[in-house]
Amino acid sequence: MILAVILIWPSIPHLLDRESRVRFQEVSIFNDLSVVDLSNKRINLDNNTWWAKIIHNRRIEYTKDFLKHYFDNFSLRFLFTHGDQNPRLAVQNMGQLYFWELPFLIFGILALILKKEKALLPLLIWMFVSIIPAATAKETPHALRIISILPTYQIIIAYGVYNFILLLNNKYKNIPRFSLPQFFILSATTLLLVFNVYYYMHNYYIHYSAKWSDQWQYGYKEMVQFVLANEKKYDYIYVTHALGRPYIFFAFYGKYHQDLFLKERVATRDWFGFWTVERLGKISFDLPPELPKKGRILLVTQEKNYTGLNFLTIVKDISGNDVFYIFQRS
Amino acid sequence: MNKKIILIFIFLIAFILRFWDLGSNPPSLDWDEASLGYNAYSILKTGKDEYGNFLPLSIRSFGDYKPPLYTYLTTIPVAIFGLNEFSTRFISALFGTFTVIVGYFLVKQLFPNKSPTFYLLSFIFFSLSPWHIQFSRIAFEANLALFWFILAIYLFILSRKYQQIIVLSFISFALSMYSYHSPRVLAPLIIFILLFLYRGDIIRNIKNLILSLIIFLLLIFPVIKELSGTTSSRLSSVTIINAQERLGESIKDLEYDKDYGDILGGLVHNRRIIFGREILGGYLDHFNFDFLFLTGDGPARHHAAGVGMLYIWDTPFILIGMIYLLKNRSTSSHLVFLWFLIAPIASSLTTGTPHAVRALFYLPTYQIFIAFGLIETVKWLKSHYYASAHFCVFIIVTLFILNFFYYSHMYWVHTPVEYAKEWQYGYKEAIEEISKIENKYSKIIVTYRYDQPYVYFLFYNKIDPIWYQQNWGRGEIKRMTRSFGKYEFTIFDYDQVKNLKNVLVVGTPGEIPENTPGLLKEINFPDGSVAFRIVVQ
Repeated sequence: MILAVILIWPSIPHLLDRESRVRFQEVSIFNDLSVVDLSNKRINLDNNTWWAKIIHNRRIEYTKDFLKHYFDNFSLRFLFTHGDQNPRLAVQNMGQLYFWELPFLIFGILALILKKEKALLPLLIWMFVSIIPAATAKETPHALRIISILPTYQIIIAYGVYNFILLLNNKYKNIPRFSLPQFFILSATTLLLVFNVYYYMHNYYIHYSAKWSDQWQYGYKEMVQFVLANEKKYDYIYVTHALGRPYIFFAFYGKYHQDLFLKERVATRDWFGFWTVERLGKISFDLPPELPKKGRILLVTQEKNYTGLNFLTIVKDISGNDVFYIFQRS
Repeated sequence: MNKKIILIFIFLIAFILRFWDLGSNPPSLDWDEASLGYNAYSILKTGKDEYGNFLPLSIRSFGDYKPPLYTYLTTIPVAIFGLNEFSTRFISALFGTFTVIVGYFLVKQLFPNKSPTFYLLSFIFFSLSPWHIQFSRIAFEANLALFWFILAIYLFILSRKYQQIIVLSFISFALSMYSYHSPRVLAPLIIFILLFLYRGDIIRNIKNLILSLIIFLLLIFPVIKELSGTTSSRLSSVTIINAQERLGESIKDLEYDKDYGDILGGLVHNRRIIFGREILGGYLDHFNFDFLFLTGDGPARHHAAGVGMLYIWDTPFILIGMIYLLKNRSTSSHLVFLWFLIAPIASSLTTGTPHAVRALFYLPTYQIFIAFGLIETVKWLKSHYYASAHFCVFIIVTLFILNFFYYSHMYWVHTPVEYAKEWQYGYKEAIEEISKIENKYSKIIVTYRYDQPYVYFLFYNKIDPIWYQQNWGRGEIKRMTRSFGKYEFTIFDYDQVKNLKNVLVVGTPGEIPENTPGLLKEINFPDGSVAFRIVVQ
């Protein structure tokens, strides 16, 4: 206990400062003003009576909202068929678990209850507690924020499968050595499992990277490497920030030394505490309103045409979509 | 004797909850109700629907081809009470009340030798079910279908004692298929389940069964014939199985695999897998917590504001009841569980899941679980904490009463205001205004923005069905434009309409600006915002 407090101690100031509070307010469901509005409207309609102030209290509405988001994370569609809608958090054509596991999850829970297994309570507490933080946020269900629920599902499913086999053995114990129904049920289940795993692997390794490369900001590496290789040939370099925070890719792929990075960057910090890096050496992370009259220019944009410059090359993602167009004046 | 008085008392409550203020809460007829009402009126007067089809087996309505039974039955209240909101909703409320009674007898048949308190509780929970009250108070065909569905199951169970009754059971199944779409999937499924579970009794009754099946097939033959025609048009408009865009993605993946020479990819991107995933996802949606306990489904007409399809109070008792029934298995508990599991199947084949109407056939399985759950909880409390058991029961009952009053308050006070727009509120009031002065104008243009305005004019003006059928009920129906008599229903651009002379224009606030010259009257929603503006040119 004491050790835990000591270990958490250094992060407490950070949790209290403005940046993290902003982050919390950005995603929290408790800042939704429409809830307050709704509760006020209902109280008004009931002539501001004391009981109306109780039953339509905004805290009750927020509790409902919390419960909705909380149980969203147990949505079976999320768990078994469709998964997180954010392509960076899930493979998209399946759930967070294998659909094969659905009957065994149910069977496992029932077996845990009916056999009065001692592990039931800790498992349930683990599951129900691990969801709480994610339920205060707007985007639910959320595969990442509830990741600490793992591996409770797998434990229950394993228990379910185990008990299923026990049940089969028990049911067919009077048939010596080889029982056809048992053999049939087990092989059908296994076959389904194999198919389900293959389904996942196939989608993940063959289609996922190609289909969703844009979600992973694919193209930055290729573009940055091209720009850095040709950096010396130009006086001005402009890189669009349309895909978000380009500077970090230059720092990463250029393997900038920290001191050099801090020396060369031009950056501003906004009220919330977020940094915006505007320049790094001669690379500007914005397109100029007007091109300089003289000098050699390299310009990276997402626009297909750029007047005043010559087209140089193009960076595509794995799906074959254009990501960056590079123009120059030499 | 005492029990009987309580039963009658609960029945009265069920009756009042379904009939009280039937015409004015929900606040107005939605377009489906108005269409049912007018078609019943039309059939009553002429034997033909609004399109002049003589005694049709499905009501064309807006081109969605509604199952016919509700409309035919509604001719009776329309004949007695005239064409109004009450008579349109009457059949639903009446059969809703019947359903609760049949539900009571069904539970008694399914679980004999239980305490009378158990039967009473399941009766109470079914009578007070928000889900069932909601659909008993609107002219939705699903509620009528639920009655036949439950009655058929009850008669089937009863036929183990009185063998001939099985014929009536199958007739009732057939009637449910004439009442709504979902039983066309669910009735065959539950028949298979019943035949399987009660195979022992059935074999002794095989003669009657065969007779019943023949009658059943003869009765539903028109439905089967139709399934290849009109109903399939309804199905294709709501189903997920023909969704081309879903396949488009998988075809792209297939081609990608082909380029790589991956043969097994064909298995993964098979369209059966794609559809199977969508159907399973839709099915599982019906177990969503917010659907059941917090907010209900998408369409606001399917539930009261701020509550789900069940009471949130029900949650623990549903779980306890399920576990109890799993521990104490019987043929009846198997039936209840299988019924529970198939109930959302028809709905899961469609888009817009979870769906409270298409999955109405859950009822009353949830209420049975709740009743068992409550009984077992109280038993457990009494055996473990005898001293405080009475207090705990008092708390549980109080919480239920609070939950019931919260629901009722939301249903009666807030829902009519908050959801009036969803009920197409305002047509009745607008038509009242218009009919006072319409003689002075040569043309009346009405917006199509709130959809299907023409049916409200037919309904509230009680337009002569013979005249309408002969002059206007023929030919192709275009989406978003209709006309009859001097009425024209369309989506208009006010700048173009503005210069017409001697015309009455009825539009939304989005179409007709505030303080427009010639503004005659504004029709408001109950929350005070403007529904219609009526302008004289």
